[in-house]
Amino acid sequence: MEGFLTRYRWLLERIERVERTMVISLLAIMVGCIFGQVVSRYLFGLPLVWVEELSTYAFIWGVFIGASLGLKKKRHIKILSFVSRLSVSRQAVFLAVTDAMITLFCLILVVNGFKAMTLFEWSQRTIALPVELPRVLFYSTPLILGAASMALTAAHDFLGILFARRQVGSEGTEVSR
Amino acid sequence: MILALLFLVFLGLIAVELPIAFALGISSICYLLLEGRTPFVIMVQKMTSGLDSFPFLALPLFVLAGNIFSRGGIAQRIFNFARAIVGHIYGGLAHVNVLASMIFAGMSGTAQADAAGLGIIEIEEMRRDGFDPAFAAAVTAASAIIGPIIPPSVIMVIFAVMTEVSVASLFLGGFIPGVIMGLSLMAMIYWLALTKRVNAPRLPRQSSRVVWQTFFGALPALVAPIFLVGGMLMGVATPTELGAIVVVYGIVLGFLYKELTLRELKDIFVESAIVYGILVFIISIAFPFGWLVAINKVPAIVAQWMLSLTSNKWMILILINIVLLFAGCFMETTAILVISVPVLFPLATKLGVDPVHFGLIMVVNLLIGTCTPPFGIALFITMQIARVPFAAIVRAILPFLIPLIGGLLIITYLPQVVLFLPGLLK
Repeated sequence: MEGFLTRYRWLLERIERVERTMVISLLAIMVGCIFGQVVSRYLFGLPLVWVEELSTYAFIWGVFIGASLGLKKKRHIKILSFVSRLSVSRQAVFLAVTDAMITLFCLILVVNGFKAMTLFEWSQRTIALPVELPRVLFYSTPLILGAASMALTAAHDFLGILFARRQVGSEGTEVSR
Repeated sequence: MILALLFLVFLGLIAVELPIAFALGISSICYLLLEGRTPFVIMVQKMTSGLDSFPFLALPLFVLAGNIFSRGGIAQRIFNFARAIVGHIYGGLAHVNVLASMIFAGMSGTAQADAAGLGIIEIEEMRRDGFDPAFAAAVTAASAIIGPIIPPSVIMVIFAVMTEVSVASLFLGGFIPGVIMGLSLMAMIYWLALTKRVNAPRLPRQSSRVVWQTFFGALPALVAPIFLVGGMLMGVATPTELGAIVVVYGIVLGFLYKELTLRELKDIFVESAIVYGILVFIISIAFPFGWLVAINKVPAIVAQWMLSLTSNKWMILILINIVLLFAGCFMETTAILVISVPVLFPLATKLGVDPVHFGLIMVVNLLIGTCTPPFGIALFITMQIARVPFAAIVRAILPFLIPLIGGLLIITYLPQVVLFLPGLLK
């Protein structure tokens, strides 16, 4: 099991690197496009209609990839309760249960993401982009990829607690805006 | 009945420290399982289609702007300028702390960008000057929540997207209330210092040369909020566009002052993406949750119940204030927002409360919740920076709850305070 988990972790690190590059590019697209649009409107009198659509799609992609990175960094917002006051081994029980729930929930999202693709979205197209693309690429696809990656992460943490008895402890809460 | 279960499961999952996003999602799925008529796929569909909204993009942009501006240089310059202006008043650096937060609020959209960037400088300087660290932490927490009241504001963007209220109106609506709350905090500090309830060393009055010097140092930072509010008032650009401009401005400034490297910039991008991804992921799961609440006519039931108590609009608003303040003691801001908006917003509009006014009431209410024990995120952040025990910061924050709640009451009962600036838009 230890060898499997090591390889598993290697895979997750690879995914994390890809996700980092992705979110940097996505945010750069949002900033660049919207800024470029303002410049183009005021300096050249040319409003670019497709910019809003493109940057909104970058935004949706960024949500799910960012949330997935957040799960890897254990940054998802939770409220500390009695659990964090328990001994480490008792906490591990709760952590294993919550990791299992996250895995299950994300798998449900993946399955239903595919359903949403086939049921609604194949017929929908982008509106203003210079090339017409199926909307699936910007709705269900990021959701499926993000959820799949989160399921992988949570499943890894679950297995880690179960088999490797890794040292676990409570992380701090995260802050919302 | 099954709906009560939805809330119970949600609270149960929160209690075992499942992250809020997943607690919302799993309780929604439990509900759908029991109800048995609606397919899960609706949930996925509501999650993504709700995100397809251009005003929503203001959120990542202002998270990014806050993270860029909170890096060392700019925050320090704002602090120096504030010290030169108000450092000599009774209360010394405590006033500086509030004023610096108010100025910084004009660029940053989240309380934690304030607490984490500026807060470290503020608390360190106050400690060095002989302030009680617990008092320093409390002032920093109380003033940090002004950040999301003065525009820009991430929490207002969330409210706007959930209710389809204009982001620009909400932003402008927050400006005067934010200034009022800052001034009332300063009044409380002045009184505490004057009556010697806290030890607050005063600084010597600065010469006008120093004031001008620090003013020019802070000028790049002072320009941003004026530009932002002016830009919205004159309709030059949408809040989202202004967000992108502020980000580019911050990056250019960072490179000009040689305070930013490409490597750091990448890290800021990743950090901002994590913050906004987590936040908006919660909202996206809150869309189906809110939809379930709406189709079960919960807003109507709550409205009926509240109206059976009183039909007076102002009484109901105070009731909402109390409920939200109470919830804020135990729950996290975003969680309360996504649960309560679908229930309370229809009620408020039915009573004839202006949507922008109601937005401000909710936002300020929830932000005060970040400063109330036992669960106050702003307190947790600043107590860690100041390295003081929780009990100490709780004692120190108590007097500041008076001006904060006083500010909330002004906002609630004098809608004109909120609605004056947005009114200029039309």
